[in-house]
Amino acid sequence: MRKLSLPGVVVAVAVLGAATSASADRARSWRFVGMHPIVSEYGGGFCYIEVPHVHVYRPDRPDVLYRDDDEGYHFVGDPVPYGYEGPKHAYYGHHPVVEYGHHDEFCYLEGPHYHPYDVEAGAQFTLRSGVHFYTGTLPRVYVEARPRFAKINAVYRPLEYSRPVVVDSPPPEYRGPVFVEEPTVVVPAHVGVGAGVHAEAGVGFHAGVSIGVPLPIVEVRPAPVVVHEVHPTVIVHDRPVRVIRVKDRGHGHRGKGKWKWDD
Amino acid sequence: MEMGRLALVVLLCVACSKAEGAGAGALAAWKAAGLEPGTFQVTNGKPFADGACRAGSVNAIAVTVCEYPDADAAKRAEVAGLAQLQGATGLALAEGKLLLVLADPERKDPHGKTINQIAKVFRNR
Repeated sequence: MRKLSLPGVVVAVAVLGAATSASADRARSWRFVGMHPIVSEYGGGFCYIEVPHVHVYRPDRPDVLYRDDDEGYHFVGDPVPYGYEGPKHAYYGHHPVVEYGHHDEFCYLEGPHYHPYDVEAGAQFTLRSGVHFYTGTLPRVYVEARPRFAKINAVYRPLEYSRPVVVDSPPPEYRGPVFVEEPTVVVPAHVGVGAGVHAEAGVGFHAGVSIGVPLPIVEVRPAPVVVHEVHPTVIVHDRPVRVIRVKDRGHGHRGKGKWKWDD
Repeated sequence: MEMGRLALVVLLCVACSKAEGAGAGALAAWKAAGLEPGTFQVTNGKPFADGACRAGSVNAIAVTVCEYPDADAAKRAEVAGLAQLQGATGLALAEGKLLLVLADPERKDPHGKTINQIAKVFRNR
């Protein structure tokens, strides 16, 4: 009788296990509680079924794009990059997920984004130029879940799509993070500290800093900047530059300075 | 013996009547919404938790509508309805005494727009 080597047994078990798992996946259904992106293996795009339903595929990135409970998977992301065409409402930054009655669930998308749902009547949002800013309290459950769910931004950051245009800065009551894209900052040589910030509009911003003449070398941190990214144009509303620290690197030094934010 | 037969006929007639009622309101609502329901036939209600069921199609989506004695029974039957999907995209939705089961095994509605419309009309009928 032919003996199987240990590695052979391991491979055979692994293959059998994978086949069993794939078969089990095909046999089972995955329950969704509303509209959601369709996984690329099944054609991609967006599923518009608003009532609880099932598919043969498991959701993509359920760890951050969905909240799951006994009812099934609730998609909590921005549907637009997945081809969603339907009513949509603009939001800025973090806010409670008001759909499906999940009052203790929060959306952790940074900056401007869309959802198919409007805010609930009486909810603490401030509407500015068509964009909703959440101005209510951010409870402990929000803080505790943030490290996990804020990873959703890693999914959305590379996606190219038309985000909402934000023409107003967040209201003072807004406590969420302000989405700051670092604009290219040019400090003219003979200009005093804090003057002459130039933000380049375009898709994406340069994080680098160029210096004309070395004196003085300053480190600047722009005050919160609201970036309005809409393809193909980007509108930037900047505020006066706040000087953080001044370093004298000596006369005659040329080239790019090393910039560190003063934390 | 004769009484037994009579009772069976009466029971079958009641079942038929319920099954007709199960689909009638929904069919009218789908037609009014511009959808195209086909012919609905009485079907075995056993797999749907003993509902009085009719099956047919609406815009090429397989549709089964079942009626139950009360709303709780219809709600409980959602599980049995989902089990009948057998791996297809679909749903089982209770509304009042009725259960709607939709199945799209051939993915004729890949983005679910038709399924969504059928379900929403059923729910709001």
